[in-house]
Amino acid sequence: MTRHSDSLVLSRRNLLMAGGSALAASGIPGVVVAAGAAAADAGEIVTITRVVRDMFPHRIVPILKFRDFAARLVGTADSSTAAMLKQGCAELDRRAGGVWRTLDSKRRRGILEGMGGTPFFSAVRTGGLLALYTDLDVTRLFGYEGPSLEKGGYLLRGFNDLDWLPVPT
Amino acid sequence: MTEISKRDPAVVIIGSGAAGGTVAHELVTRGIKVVLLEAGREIGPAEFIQDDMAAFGQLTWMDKRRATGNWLAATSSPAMPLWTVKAVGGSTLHWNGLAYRMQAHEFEPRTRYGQVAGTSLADWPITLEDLLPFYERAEDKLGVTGTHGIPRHPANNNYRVLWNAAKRAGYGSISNGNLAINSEPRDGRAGCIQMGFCNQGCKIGAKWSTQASEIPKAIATGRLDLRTGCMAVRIEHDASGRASAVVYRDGNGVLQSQVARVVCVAGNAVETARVLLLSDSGKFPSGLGNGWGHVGRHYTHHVGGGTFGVMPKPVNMHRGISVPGSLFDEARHDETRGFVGGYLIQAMSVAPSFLASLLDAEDWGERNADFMEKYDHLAGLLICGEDMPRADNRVTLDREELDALGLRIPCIHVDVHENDRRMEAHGRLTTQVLMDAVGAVDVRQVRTALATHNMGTARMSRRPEDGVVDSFGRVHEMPNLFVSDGSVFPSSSAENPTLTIVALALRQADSIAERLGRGDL
Repeated sequence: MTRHSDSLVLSRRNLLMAGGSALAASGIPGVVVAAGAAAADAGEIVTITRVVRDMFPHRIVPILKFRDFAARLVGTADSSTAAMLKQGCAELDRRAGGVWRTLDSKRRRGILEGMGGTPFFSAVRTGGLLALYTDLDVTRLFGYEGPSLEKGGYLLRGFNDLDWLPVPT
Repeated sequence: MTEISKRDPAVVIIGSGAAGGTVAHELVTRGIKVVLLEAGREIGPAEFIQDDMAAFGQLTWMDKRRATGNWLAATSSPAMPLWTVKAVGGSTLHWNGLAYRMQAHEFEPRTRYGQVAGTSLADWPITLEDLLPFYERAEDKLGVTGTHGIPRHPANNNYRVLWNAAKRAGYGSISNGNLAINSEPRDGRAGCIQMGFCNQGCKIGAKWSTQASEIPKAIATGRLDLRTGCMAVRIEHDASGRASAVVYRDGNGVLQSQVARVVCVAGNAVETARVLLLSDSGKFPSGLGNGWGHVGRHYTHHVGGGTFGVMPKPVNMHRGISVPGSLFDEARHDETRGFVGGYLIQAMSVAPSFLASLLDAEDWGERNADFMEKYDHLAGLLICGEDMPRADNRVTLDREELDALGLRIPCIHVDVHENDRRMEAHGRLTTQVLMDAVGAVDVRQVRTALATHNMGTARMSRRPEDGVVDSFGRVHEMPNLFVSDGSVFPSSSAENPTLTIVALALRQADSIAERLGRGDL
């Protein structure tokens, strides 16, 4: 069932280098499985990467962040979740009448909206939300600054630096 | 720590939060031995996590519940409709420190609001005047800013937005005071350094909690036996109807029994009602204190809702105190607005993960992503208003599902009253106006699903037939069984409940100590 086309080999290598190593470093179980996964999984990871990018379309966030999540989702899935993810990806393509991720963004969104409420849609949306917005590398891009104890809080670092409105009296 | 024998009749308190921790401390300082049962474990400042989602996972009471009715939680979070804490200190670990007194009229809502169809509104058996000395003491114990000569905090950025918006809109009553967060070192606790993680457990102890204050003080007296990981499952009584022992599951999952001369229940409204209901017996077939059928009923949790606005320039709302101040003008009772009771408007910041979750409930895609990318330009507002008690908004024991011990899980049923909907709509309009007043370029309004203020499931009443406990929290039908927490509130008021819970707990502790002193208990 596994066919080693160039693109799939490339995907696997990228996963190992970019997504895989970062995830392995995070100690999340199943990552090694993901990195060495069957080529069929790599196709799914690419599709889910596109799904989560469409759900959270941040152009300023590196695409690898989305793919890290997709790889983790696929790599840590138990057998029933894995089947659900596989079926969800297949369903996107079925509704697209081809390869869903190659459609334009408007048509992709329309098909995704139609999948709302499915376990596939919920798993990617909830998991993607948590993965992205608890990642300080991501939220720092939006201006969030994370833990502050080590830096002495914000008492001397701008808790009252707003200068475009009068000071309360 | 002191060990009290399980056969030694002690005062047994269930729950170590604002109420249980306060009553325990008051009694041990008067020489009375107390066994304090806490379902959670001890989580200290070194363990608190400055990450909203991780802290949520660490602190939150996750035991399964079931929500029914037409409130939002029943569809969006049916297995976990409440957001409370399971740890030593209870929900004082995650509260935001807003320490407001109730208003005089809120003690007599039935009289002042009149007959409101579809509610079970009742006057409190005490007045503001009765509670004033205890509010004074509570504010001193908690170190509330703006009271007892304690300076207010300097205004942070998010508060500055609220203040200016309110002034431009024409409001007059705005304050950054009445926070139980030290503005300077006091009572052995540090002064606030504006870390911005009030809700995750304060890592420097500047925010008051029973974990940071009453419990260590109580342990130091040598008269407190704090048992963590111990979940009370049943209160037993003798033939005369006096509470005689508390059965609990210890940290190893083994059932234990502690002989008691007085029992105080302070498990937060849902678990308090549950343990009273689980304690049914031949003498009390529908549960303890439930002779008139009020246990679990009249559950309230405040009208809520959040508004976030993209400001023309940066705000950085995450810098500093999470809920730094409030606007009180809409907290009045004024029926010309189309509803009874009132609501507070509070400046509020949330971290990106929480904000994303709130936005996600309404929409997904480009609109949310663009909003999230403006995080440093956002200001946040929250409303907190009086919701209507209804007899059928209630905690019951679930008919189907059992917990690990084979005990029925709590079911919380809420049907939202029309008055609550009108108030929420008014609040949304007002917060939209406030955002516009300071030039917001985009505004998003979100609904809050998880109930953090839980009240009313064992309400106090003058006549036994109207409630569960008297004004001291003593169960009408059992002389030595007390309810100490927010369950005793007949109505929610607009204000955050903790200061009132502590004031009532101080009053109750005085009463218990006095009765024990004259051999009355």
